[in-house]
Amino acid sequence: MTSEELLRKLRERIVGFAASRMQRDSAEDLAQETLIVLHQKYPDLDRIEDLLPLALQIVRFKIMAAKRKAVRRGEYTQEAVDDLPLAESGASPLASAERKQMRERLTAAIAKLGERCRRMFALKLEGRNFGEIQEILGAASINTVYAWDFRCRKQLLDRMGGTWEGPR
Amino acid sequence: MRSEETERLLGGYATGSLTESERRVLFEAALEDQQVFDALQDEEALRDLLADGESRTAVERALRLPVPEKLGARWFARPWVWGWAVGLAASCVLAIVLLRPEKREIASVSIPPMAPNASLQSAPEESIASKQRPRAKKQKANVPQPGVVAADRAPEPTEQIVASPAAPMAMSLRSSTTLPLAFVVVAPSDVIQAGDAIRIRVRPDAAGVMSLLQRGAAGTWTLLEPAVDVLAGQEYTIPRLPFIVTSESNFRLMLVPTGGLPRFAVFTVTPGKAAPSQ
Repeated sequence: MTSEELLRKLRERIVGFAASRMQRDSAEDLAQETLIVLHQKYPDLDRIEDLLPLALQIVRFKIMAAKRKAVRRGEYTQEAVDDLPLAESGASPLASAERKQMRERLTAAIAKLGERCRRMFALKLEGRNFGEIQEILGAASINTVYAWDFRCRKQLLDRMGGTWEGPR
Repeated sequence: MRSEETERLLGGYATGSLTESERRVLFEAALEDQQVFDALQDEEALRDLLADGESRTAVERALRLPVPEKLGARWFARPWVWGWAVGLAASCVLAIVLLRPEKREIASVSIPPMAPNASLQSAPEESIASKQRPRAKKQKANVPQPGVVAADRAPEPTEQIVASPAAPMAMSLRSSTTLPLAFVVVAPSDVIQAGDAIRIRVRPDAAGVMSLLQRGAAGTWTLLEPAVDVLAGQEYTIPRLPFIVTSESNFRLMLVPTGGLPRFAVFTVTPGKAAPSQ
């Protein structure tokens, strides 16, 4: 896949995602701004493994910023590209509060998980891949580990109300 | 549509548990499929949280906390609870066995065939089943209307089933009394009481058209059930709505075999007194 084709598909996906959360025009703008950021700040990246996670991150921050502005002033002004807060050190008090809330919800949900689900999560946080987790937990097959992980994630998500970030 | 593999890989994205090749597979799927992209975008919130040092520490701490013991598990770890539970279960089973309605067959009649023209004549009736059985019942003044399943019945009658020996068809005949919610099959020795709702189970020996008639006070026969097409050897329960036993009643079960002449069986249901309650 060429770089141009990759960016075209990426744009299509971002518009599709953003359009489910904001007006179509804003979604188009958000996709455009995301691609501009990628182009201006990360011109050397052309692999999907690099571009897609970055795009996800940028889109998330842009949507959060847009929501904050809309709530605060009722404006839908576009974010300046240069203002994009990719570095976490610059998190606003509101963003910090949101993160704190999500952390509390997540830890409360974890407290209700069973032993195996906790172990799975802990091993994943240690950076273990599913093959290693299979060995450590003594699962008969990798599919068993996938099934456990699926159920555990579902339990966790259910206990958090269906989404990581809480009700939209 | 999210494939099974994509679903699995999504679980490892936020925690960074995917190998390089797995990440690539997941990202390529996200580029091709909007649902996968959306799901991945949702996972980004968790990935972002876990990338924050303070949040990650809090999550790791929560994962290390002891798993809360389930209340049920704690109770059932105690032997006396098991003993109590087993005892309770045994009591329940015993109660169900003792209280459930027993299946009782009232009458099983096998009548030899006879000449069709003769079968149309009324025949002398002969009792084939008559016996008393104790039964505790609540008496109710108002007798249920015919056609309505009776829930309450007058106490202690005796049942007598009479069938014509000259009836033309071989059949198995059963009457059923009702409980409030269901019919039960009753035995020949059982008592039918006034107020019981009755239906008859018939297995005709020939295919044809079958009907059930009841003799009224003036001696006229009333069709209780519209004639139904029947097959030989199959079981039918008639009438569709049960009739209520209030006093001695005569019935005629008629079968018109396909291409043959009518045959019938006559029987009487008489509510009677039951033996004293035990």
